[in-house]
Amino acid sequence: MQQAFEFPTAMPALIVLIPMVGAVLAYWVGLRWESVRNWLCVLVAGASLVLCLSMYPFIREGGVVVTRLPVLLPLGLSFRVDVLGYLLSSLTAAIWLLATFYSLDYMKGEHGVNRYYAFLTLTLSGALGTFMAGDLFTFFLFFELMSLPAAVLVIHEETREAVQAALKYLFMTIGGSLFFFFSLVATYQLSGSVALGTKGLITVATPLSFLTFAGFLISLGVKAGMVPLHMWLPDAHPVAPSPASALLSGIMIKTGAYGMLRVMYEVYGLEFLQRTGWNSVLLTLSVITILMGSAVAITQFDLKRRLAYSSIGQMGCILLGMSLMSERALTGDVFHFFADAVAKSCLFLCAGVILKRTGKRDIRQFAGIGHLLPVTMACFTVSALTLVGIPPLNGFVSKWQLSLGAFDAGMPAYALALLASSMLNAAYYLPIVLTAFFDRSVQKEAPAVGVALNPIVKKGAIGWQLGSIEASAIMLVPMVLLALSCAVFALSPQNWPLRLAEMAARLLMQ
Amino acid sequence: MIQGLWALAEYPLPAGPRESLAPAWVLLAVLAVVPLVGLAGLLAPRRRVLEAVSVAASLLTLGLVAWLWTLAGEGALIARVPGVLAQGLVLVASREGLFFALISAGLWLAATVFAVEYIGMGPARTRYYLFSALCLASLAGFYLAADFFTLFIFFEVVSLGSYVLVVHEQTDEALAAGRLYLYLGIFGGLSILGGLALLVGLTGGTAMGPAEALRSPAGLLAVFALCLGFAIKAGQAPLHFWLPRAHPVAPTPASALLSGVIIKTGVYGILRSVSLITPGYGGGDWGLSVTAGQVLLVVALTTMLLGAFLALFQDNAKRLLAYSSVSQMGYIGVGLAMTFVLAEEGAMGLAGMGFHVLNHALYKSTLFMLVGVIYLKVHRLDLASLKGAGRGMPLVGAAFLVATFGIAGVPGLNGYASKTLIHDALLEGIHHGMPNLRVAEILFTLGSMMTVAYVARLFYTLFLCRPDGSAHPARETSLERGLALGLGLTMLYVGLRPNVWLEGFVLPLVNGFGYAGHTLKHLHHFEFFAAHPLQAVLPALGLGGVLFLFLRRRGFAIGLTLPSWSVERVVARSLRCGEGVCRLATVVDSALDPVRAVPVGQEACRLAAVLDSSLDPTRAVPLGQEACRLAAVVDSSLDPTRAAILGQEAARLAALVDSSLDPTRAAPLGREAARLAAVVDSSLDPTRAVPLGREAARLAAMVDSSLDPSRAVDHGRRAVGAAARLDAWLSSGSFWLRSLGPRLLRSLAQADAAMGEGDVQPAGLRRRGRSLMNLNVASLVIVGVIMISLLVFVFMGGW
Repeated sequence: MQQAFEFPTAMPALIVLIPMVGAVLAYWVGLRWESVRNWLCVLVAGASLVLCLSMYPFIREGGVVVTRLPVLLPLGLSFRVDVLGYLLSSLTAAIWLLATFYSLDYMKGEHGVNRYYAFLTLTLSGALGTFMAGDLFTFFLFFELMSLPAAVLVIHEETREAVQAALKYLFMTIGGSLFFFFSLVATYQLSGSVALGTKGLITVATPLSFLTFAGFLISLGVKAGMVPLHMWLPDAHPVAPSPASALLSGIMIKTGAYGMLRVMYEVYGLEFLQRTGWNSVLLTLSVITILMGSAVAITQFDLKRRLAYSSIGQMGCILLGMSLMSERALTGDVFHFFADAVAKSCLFLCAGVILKRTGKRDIRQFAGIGHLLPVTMACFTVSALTLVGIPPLNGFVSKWQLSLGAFDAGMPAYALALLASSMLNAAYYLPIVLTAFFDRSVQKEAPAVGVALNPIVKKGAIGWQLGSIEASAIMLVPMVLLALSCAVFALSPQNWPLRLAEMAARLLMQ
Repeated sequence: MIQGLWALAEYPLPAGPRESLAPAWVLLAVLAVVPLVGLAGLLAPRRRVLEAVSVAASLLTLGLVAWLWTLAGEGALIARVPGVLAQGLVLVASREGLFFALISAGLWLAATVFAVEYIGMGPARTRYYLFSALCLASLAGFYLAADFFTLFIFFEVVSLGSYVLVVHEQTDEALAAGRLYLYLGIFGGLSILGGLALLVGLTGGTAMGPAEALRSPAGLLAVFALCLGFAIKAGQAPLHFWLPRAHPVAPTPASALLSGVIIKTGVYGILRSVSLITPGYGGGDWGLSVTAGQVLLVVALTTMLLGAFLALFQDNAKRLLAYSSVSQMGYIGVGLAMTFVLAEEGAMGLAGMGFHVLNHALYKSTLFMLVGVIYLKVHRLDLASLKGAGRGMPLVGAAFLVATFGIAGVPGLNGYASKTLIHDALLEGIHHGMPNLRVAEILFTLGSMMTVAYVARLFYTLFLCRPDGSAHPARETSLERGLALGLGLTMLYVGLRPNVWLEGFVLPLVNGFGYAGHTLKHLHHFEFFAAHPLQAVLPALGLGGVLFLFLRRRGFAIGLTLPSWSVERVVARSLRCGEGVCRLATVVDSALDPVRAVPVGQEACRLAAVLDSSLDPTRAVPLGQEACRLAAVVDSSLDPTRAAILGQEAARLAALVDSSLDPTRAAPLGREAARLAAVVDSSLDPTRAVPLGREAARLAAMVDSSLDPSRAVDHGRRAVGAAARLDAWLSSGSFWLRSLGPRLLRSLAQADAAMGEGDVQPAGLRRRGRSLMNLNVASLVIVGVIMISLLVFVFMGGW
């Protein structure tokens, strides 16, 4: 086992601190100058992204960026960014940047915008801290720092449903935190340390260590939307403003899966789990999550609710990948973090445009919107196909790696679960696309649509012009970028996230 | 073996593969044209630029593929594109794949030219041409694939891309058929993907070509999964049912491509998949692949007969052609199956299959397009209103006749040549000790007979029937003339000089698979127009003619309904089941909602509140007061002045005891004791026990009668009554406080009063004193009972 180089820098602390300060500043500035606040938030997310990416030279060398802060003693805060944390925190900052940028237009004219931006930025701090945490205690603190402000994003609309959803979210999150706290204490009791980056803190299988495992499973499962602890998710994601839904679904629920990954491979260790077979608990639950999430998604007709259930199904794939315990499965798993985050946030952003421009949430009323919002629906289609796992897109790469990983692990039956997942994904994503582009039943009745219908043909001389109700450039740019990355990374011979995922898998499997 | 070597010497196999980037560049060029087509549509929507670019793209593809074909004559060219899609793509320009690619590109060109007229300036034409170009480019990729991974990638793109072509008209019918096509395509794709994963698990890669590791149950499963996916696309029974729905609803150029080109991808896929379990030419055990071939043969014969039979009774021209495609895929399937059944001599089957792929592509595309030409004039597709619709279009009619004769297998036309080869492959099998193939041969002839009947009907209706009423025949345009002429002449050329095509085009395909042996030699000098194959085809033609005449008199109408076990219905039913499962999952899911636990929590909280209020110390105050009053009573009873009297009494008692201790008083006691002893002695007389025994017996009788269970009923009833009363008493929890408390107070008051009385009446003191002590004990017991009952009330009453 090669020893990783440690680079002690203050970079992670800085990355976490910037959005934290930025949130407070944004609220204060926003009281007077709205546009300054908006761009400040974009700037903060952008700065976080740049700083995250700037750690690449260390990471490329196979190193680990380490920071120890002597606050909150006796445990103290510590950050530790290895290749996995690097990939996910960069991804987080990037998608946050795009979603914040998208918000510039989306949130225009909404109520409570000041609150929205401040908490959005604060949540970024929590999410980044979670991915960069160097020990379970820091993880716990930032996990909470992310989860609690997110409730403000959920409740944003202040409708009855929003309040109920936010309460449900809050209580389940807090309930989960209690389990995490128990497991945190128990881990400390069992091993005398809560540091991550080792290969197994807990080495003896006792009832207490199993309870600790169960505590981690429950607390992180709540956040990851693992069935049967997922019930907050399909309520909370649809009611939040779309950019916030994109972040909830794209990034925040991934922190649960990320925590599970760390717990399984670093708190317990590969060899320990192979010996005890405790991963089969997660294996079973993840298959249930895949099938349940996808099956329920088919029966949902509210677009954002269907997307939320789809998130549950995709999280099932991610949880399945980590519990298969083979290197290829883990590569696919980490890549699926990336593929799903990109595609799912793009889908939610598209859903936001659809909602904003046409006022439609019900999939059955989507006939013809492909002509009204051609670029939006094209982005939607690409992202949906990614999640179905159609080549040559990102989702196919991860599902292919996951399936091969299932064979490597000697459990080929689980590849069937992945195939079933793809089929079910097709069954609930494709009808949306087909209705949007090919169903003509509504167009005849609504002549107003004609204004925007195929404007390209009408403006023959000028050529390229988008539909009159197509989203503005500010909303389009993030969606197009996300949709492009669904294809570009898979097709590029230098698949950068995949290489990082391979490195991360190798690191975890050591 | 010696023969094989000899064949090798005379007809050298292509040299080993060389590394060259040519296939990759070709594919990149073909793919790069696709966005150009879209761009042309966007930038110049009102001009014919789009069509020009599309035709140019088809031409470019055809040219590049043909160039690769010539390059590949020197040996296959392999290009590796590492990193793409994690696994990396491997492309190969070999004549096996390019054979199919050339056919595809050639027909694509024809169909694109026809689309210029058919699609015209209709709606969404940019979309049509864009996805048409995408499909063509992906097809090129599909046939250039050197491993199954690459093959699968392009297969999926073709599947999804052609969906857009199928639903181009966007009618409800088209959308429904498109859904079936899409979802079956995705299902097939996932089946292939599963097979691929298994393949990687077993062999470590997805390379084509024989693999020893697959000769295991898991390996067969992998091959089966691959074949299943490809068989759906190839329209093999019983998974053919999407085909007669999807082909008629597509715009005609797309139908022509679907039938002529796209479903052939399935055939190529099956060919590659089953080749995995052959041992390769020149060695090993052929048993597995022969068995697989036999299974394929059964499937193919079923497909062939089912398709032809159903085509007989179709009233829609395009539906008829679609069923005909199913049937023709059965012919191709027979050739494919014979490739494996004949083991080392499979060259005959493979050549027949390849030749038939070419011919079917030619005549089926022609038929579809010419029906489309007529549709453009008449705008009808049902045969009843198409009577004589083709009159007045001589060139179209002539080309249609050539295609009809081709598909019917009339000697001198292209279908005859390939059918003869497939038929010969069957005969070869019979000669090689598989007499069961005689049945297959008879079924083959039967299929040909039905084919003759249905195409004859189509041609007869379109061109020979007298038109009903006023429908005057339309004229053909010059584009249509050119198309008909080009396709007709090609077919005639293939049909009249089959050896040229066999030698130059089909046999490179056979060579590519490494076949040698005497059949290959036989193929090089195959006599298509010898007496023997001509004799074989005559019964089919003759009987087909008879069948046509017979059915014409019946009006081609027999009521056909789908039998209840049809696969289509099974699929529909299982989909409904799936929907039910999804709904069930939703119910389960909503049952998991933690919000449902809220009322329970609320009740728990209310209970806690009750418990909490019962713990209120102020409730203990009356109790304390009572206790204090009791203590006062006890206290007053402890007054020492009362002890003096007690002391006197005690002294008197002591004197009494003392005097009773006088020994003289013991004498009468001794006397009495002696008398008692005498009595005891006399009582030991056994005779006295007799009455006792009698009494005991009577007692036993009484006990016995009391054990009568019927008496227990009464007891039980009484016990129940008592229990009910007890229950009622217990349940009125407040009883304890309401009735017991006052009773205690009353008894205490009585005691108090009695105490006062005692003070004035010392004479009654002794009696009163004893009762007072009893009272104290009783009150302590009562207080205890009250405490316990309070506790019981507190913890039980609230529930």
